[in-house]
Order: sequence, then structure tokens, then C-alpha cells
Amino acid sequence: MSFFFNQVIIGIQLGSQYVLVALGLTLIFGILDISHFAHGHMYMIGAYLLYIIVVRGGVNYWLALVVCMAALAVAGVVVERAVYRPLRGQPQINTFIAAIGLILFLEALVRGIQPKALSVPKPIDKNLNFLGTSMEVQRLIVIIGAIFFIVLLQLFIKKTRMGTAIEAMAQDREGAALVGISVNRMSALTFAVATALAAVAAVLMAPLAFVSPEMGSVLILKAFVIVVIGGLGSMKGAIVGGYLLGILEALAIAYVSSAYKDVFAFGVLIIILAIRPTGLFGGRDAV
Amino acid sequence: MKKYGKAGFYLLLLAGAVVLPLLLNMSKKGKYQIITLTLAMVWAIATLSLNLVLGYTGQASLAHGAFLGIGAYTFAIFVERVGLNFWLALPLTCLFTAFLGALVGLPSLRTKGPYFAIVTLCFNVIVFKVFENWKWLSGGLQGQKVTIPSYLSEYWARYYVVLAFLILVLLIERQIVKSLLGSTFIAIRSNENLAEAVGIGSFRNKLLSFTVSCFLVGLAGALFAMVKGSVDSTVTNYLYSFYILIYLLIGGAATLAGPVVGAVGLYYLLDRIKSIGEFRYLAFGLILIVVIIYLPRGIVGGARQLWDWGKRQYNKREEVPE
Amino acid sequence: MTLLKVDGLTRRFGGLIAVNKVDFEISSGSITAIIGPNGAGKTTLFNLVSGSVTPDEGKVVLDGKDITGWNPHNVARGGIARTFQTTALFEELPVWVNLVIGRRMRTRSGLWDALLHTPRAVREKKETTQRVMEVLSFTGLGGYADQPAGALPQEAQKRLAIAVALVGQPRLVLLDEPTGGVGLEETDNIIALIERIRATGVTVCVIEHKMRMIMNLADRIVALNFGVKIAEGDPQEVCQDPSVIEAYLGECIA
Repeated sequence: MSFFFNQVIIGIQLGSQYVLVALGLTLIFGILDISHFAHGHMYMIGAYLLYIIVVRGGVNYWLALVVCMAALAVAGVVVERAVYRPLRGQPQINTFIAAIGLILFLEALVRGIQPKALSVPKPIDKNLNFLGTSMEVQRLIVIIGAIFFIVLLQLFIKKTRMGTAIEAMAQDREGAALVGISVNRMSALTFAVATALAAVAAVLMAPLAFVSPEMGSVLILKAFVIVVIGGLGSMKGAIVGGYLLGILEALAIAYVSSAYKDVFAFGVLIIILAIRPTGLFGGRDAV
Repeated sequence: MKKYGKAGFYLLLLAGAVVLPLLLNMSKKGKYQIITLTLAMVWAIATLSLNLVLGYTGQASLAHGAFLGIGAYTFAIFVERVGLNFWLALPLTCLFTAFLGALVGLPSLRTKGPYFAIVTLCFNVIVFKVFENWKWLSGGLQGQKVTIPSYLSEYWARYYVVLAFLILVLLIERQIVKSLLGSTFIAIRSNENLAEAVGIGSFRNKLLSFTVSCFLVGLAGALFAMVKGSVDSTVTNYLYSFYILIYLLIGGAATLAGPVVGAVGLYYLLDRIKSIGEFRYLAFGLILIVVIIYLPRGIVGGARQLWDWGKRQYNKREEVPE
Repeated sequence: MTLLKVDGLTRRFGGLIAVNKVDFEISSGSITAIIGPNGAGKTTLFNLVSGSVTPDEGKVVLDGKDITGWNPHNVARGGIARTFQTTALFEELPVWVNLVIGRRMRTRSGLWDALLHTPRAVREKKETTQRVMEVLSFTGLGGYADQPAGALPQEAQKRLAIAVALVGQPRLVLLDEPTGGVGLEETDNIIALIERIRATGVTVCVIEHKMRMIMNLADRIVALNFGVKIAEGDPQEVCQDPSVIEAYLGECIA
């Protein structure tokens, strides 16, 4: 029983990462209608940045978290300006293709410089014993950290002026423009917030796994799976879907097979879309 | 007269393609060049297949890498484990890949645009992981050998076989594109809602396009296995789906020359700059971004647009009243 | 003879009832106009008939056949063609290709015909070309044949949308604001076109705002407001109906 409980906690930890990345994707998709397929690679860059700052630069982990968030926010704005903005108004598939170009670029860049998998030390390398199970502290850090930033995001959207503007844009872009909300500024802001969230996910997760060039690839697909199944543009859907996928995956690894764990998410997507093409929570259609 | 000019041009190209190995053979690295060109032509066939479903019907499939691999493995298994005759295995492979394509298309074609791309990519990842892990089927990284009939063991014989199939595929695609069926596909790409409003069943036509496309990429896969003499689990890599997409877009989607120019040109180029290693793909990525923003019709498409624009300007000049 | 019968048609979107138990009939060979203020449900009514939207209640019967809930492409094949309020065309394709596509549903050539260049493929291509030429001259678009549809002037685009609807030999054509955003002289052109369409035996149903135009053109008028039919009859009757006058604030000119 305690093994099961242990796996569930791991699942929540896994899910935390998915939720943070899926939320960023949902923001960008829900507000800007952009399928930002390269989001997973921004996450990857965040992890490498962490490695450089902490392992090569000797900086404190927590400080590095802040630095990575800031740096990735800037990177997100640059990507929006250089890659996606020129394609505004074009069919969605063109933006998607541009994202593919960006993915190839980023992955090749990293692979060309340092293809080997790297590891980042945990800030607190201990185990915690509670409720009959033993858990690495880092996993709990991931879980708590994710919840902290999810709540922060909700507060930002609901309580601040910028956040309300974002929500307005998500509901009615033309109306928002008429009221004087600048589409350009909102686009930059959305990308900044979303990419910063990816940085959080990367920094929290990196000590638990290896930092490698392809760490973003499968992650982005799963994030899209979550976003599509949860309902495009629905933040609730992204949160529920993310945690659910994490738990299901952890249980699948433990009780079924670890080789096919990634396949699991995708199989579920295809099955769900075959039965209910509009996703589970509604929102806009993938159909 | 114009028609003969065009036909003459293509005949010249064909003659060039036929003569090329003989010329290359005379140089030191000739054999390597010919094998590279042969593989490039196989990729051209794969790119032509994606052209049908993306360039002409507007559906961005990222599963074609998987189907290429499936075609390669199906062929290898038919020849090696089932013991079929080489020339029988080829069409059977195409049919089988088409059949699988139809199965995959049924649920996934209900999604549109980038979501279809993602669903097909997910399928590709699934196939890749299955082939990686299911050693009985794939032989893992060691793979599966393919026995080629002795008259094809010469590398230049394989060049001509692939060339013949490339021309066949070009003819097939040309026939489809110029037909009423072709106009149906183009309608779906251009404005799917309007196509439905004028009586075109978009789902069934998308499915048809996807199935035929898989038939053709299955052929590419079989030829791939034939040229290499073996297959291993990396042949279903989802990265191949991206490469085929890039060859298509840079060469020029919705043209017949575009996929060939893109695939042969880029594959050859990639091989040439092998020495800079991973950074090749960096350039790839950059070029893709630049092309999709500034030259969305690719090289051939862009050139054609320029040509048409020039013609219209010239005609306008002639209309100036005295 | 009744060509189209709409019976108790209802459609809700969330809490809003866009079309509320609407019934009317369209006789074969006539020109019927659907009028009403913005948001009255006119376009939704067209969507319900053409199959883009499924009704919550009610029936749509075409020449005795119940076509309620049919997919748009089946409705089109059944003989109902339409245009859209925001002109819908295959913008980057040449005008003549737009028309070839419009007629595609009347041909049966498929994959094998394409690959093997069958006699059917040849014949259908020839028939299509012939029909396309006919419609091009009928709608006065011959001069634009090779140009991309999106490059045409606004009024010609409206005519092209009508041509695309006509080329498939429909029995009933639904025109959603065919003179929207078009100037006075061009409006007359389109009115003349609609009368020519009726003369060929095709039944027409038009959504229009321009009352003066409707008065001379339509045989019957159906007036909607807030999704409900408030009047039906010939132009004289409808124009004097008090609820119509109220809805239009007396704009109705006899």
C-alpha cells in the first residue's frame, strides 16, 4: 500500500511538471491562437541554462531559479517577436511549421555544443520519511513549487491589471483591441509568462533527471495532449489533465511497463479524439 | 509549339538523369555519389507522397516518417521472413502501408490543422517506440537484413530502379493533380467549409488522399530497404517526418518539381556538409523559419510566382494604348 | 408546387433562442426574401436549411424529402446551393477553377479515372468546361476567368460566389445578402442576375436588408425578428404589417 502511495506522490510530481508546461501552452494558445510547438524546447534551454549557472557558475540553486525565469521570459518575448509575429493572420499550420524550424534550430544548437546528458545536483539531497513512505525532498520541492506558481498565476490573471487584460484578450480579441489593449504588448507578455513557467518546470525537474537535448521533445507532445484533451484554452483542463496524466503515467511505469510509458499518453490521445473530437472539457475545438 | 518545348525540357532532364551515373562513375568518389543520389531520390518519392496530402489537400501529416519505416520493415519481412518474390513484395508493401494509413486516418483526420499534425506525430512516436522495444518485430538496432536479387546487387542498378519509380510516382501524382479528383483535394485545402457547401465530402476525400499518400510513402520505404540492404529500428524515427516536411516546404509544396528539388537538393547538401556535424540541422531550422515567413511557396513555387508575375507585367506593357 | 418546407425550426445557442419555431414554404420557381433587423436569425435560418447547423427542433423538407440534420455536402448534392454573408471563395485559385470545384459534385470521376485517363474522366472534364463557360457568361465574369478569385473587385466576387452556387445545377439557391457592401449600380446588376436565375427555373431565396430592392424583386417575403416569424406574404401585405413596420421603424417603402 505504501508503494502505491509512493507512486501516487511521484505521479503528482510528474504531473506538476506537465501542468506548468501545459499552462504556458494554454495561455499562448488560448490568448494568441498560436500552436507554440517549440515550448518544450524553451523548457530544455531553461534546463541547460540552469546547468551552466549552477554547475559551471557555482550560483545558488534558488537564485538560479529566478535568473532562469527572467532569462527565459526574455527568450520567450524574442521568439514571439522574431518567429511568430511575422506570421500573424496566416493559417495556423504555418506557425506550427515555424515552430518546427525553431525546434530543429535549438536542438541542433545544443547538440552541437554538448550532446551528452548532464546532471544538476539537488539543492537538498535528502530523503523524507512520512506516512510510511520515503521520498526524495526534491520531489516534494517540485510539488510544492508547482502549486506555488500555479496559485501565483491565478492571482496574476484575476487580480492584476495586466492579468485581466490577458483574460479579456482570451475571451474576445477584437473587443479587447477596441478597448485599447495592445495586441503586441499582450503577445509579448503572454509569451514572457508562459516561458517563465516553463523555466520553473525545468529548474524544479532538472535535479531529478538528466539534462539532455531531447528532454523537451516528448514533453511538448504530452503537453499538447493535455491541452487538447483538457479543452483548448481551458486552464482548469490543463491543471486537471496534467496531474491526471502524471499519476496515470507513474502507475503505468510501476505496474505495467516502463519502456512504453510515453506511448501511453499518445495512445490515450488518439483514443479520446476518436471518441470525442472536441476534448473532454470543451473550450475551442481541435476539430 | 509550347507543349513540345516543355516535353523536350523534361526529356532532356530524363536523359541527364540516365546519363549521370555513367559520368559520375568516372570520378573517384563516383560510387558514393551515386548511392547518395539514389537515396536522395527515395526521399524525393517520400516527399512527393507528403505533397499529395499536405501540398494539395492541406493536411499536415507528421506521420510519414513512421509510414516510411513501416514500408521498409513490411518489405523486409515480406522478402526475408515470408520469402516472397521481390517484385511481388513491392506492391504488397504499398497496399499494406496504404491500409494502415487508412486505419490511422480514420480517427485522426477528424482533427484539423496543427492538431492533426500533433496526432500524427504522436502516432509516429508510438510506432518508433514500439519498433525500438519490440525486438522480435524489428531486430532493434541491429535490424533486419534484406536480400536483394543478384541482378540488383550493383549500386547503379539500384539507381535506375529508383529513378524509374520516381518517374512513375511523378506521373501518378501528375494524373491525380490534373484530374477532377485533384480539384477536390485543392478545394479542401483552400476552403474546407466552402468545399462542403458545394457538395464535396471533405472527410472521405481527406481519407482518400491520406491513403494514397501512404501507398506512395510505403513504396519509398520499400525502396529504402532495397537500397540500404537492411533496416533497423531507426528507420521509423519521427525526425524523418520533420525532414520530409522540410524538403517539401523548401522545395515548394503543391508543385511537382518542388518535392524533387527539395529532397534531392537538401539531402545532397546535408550530405556534403556532414563535416560540420549537428550544426547542419541548425541551418535547416533557420532556413525553414525564413522560408515559411518570407517564401512560403518554397523555391519552385516562388520561382513560378515570380515567372507568372513577370509574364503579367510583360503582357500589361503590350496593352498600353498608343 | 412547394419546393422547400420549413416546419417549426428551432435553434438555441446557450441561453439565446436564435430561431424560434419558424415555419414557411417556398414554391418552386419563385423568389422569396427573408428580411429582418440584424440578429433576427436570418443567417442561422439559412445555416439550418443548408446543414451547417443542426436544428434543436423542427424539420426541413426538400421536395417531399426530409433533409433535417443532413451534412452540408449532402444538402448541396440534394440540390440546395448557397452563398455566405462574408463572401466565401477559393481565393487563391483562378475563377474558372472555383467554378470547376463548384460543379465537382455532379461528376463521378474518382481515383482510377484520374490514374487511367478513362473515357469518363475525359467526358466529365469536357462537360465541366462547357458548364463553366456557360455560367461564366451567364454571370458576366468571362473577362476574369484566369484571375485569382481574391483579386476580383468586391462586386465581381459577389457575382462569382453566386456563380459557384449555380454551376452545380441546384434547384434552390440561398443568397445571403448578395448585395452587401455593394454600390447602387452594381446592386442593380445583381438584381438583374437574380431575375435571370429565376428565368432559368432555379428557385431563389434571398436574405436582404435593402427594402427597395426586395419590393420589386420578391414574390413573397418572410419577416423575422428575434428569431420569430412576424409576417409572411406578398410584398404589399408584409410592408403594411404593423409588427414589420415596428421592427423596421417604418423603413418599409411600398
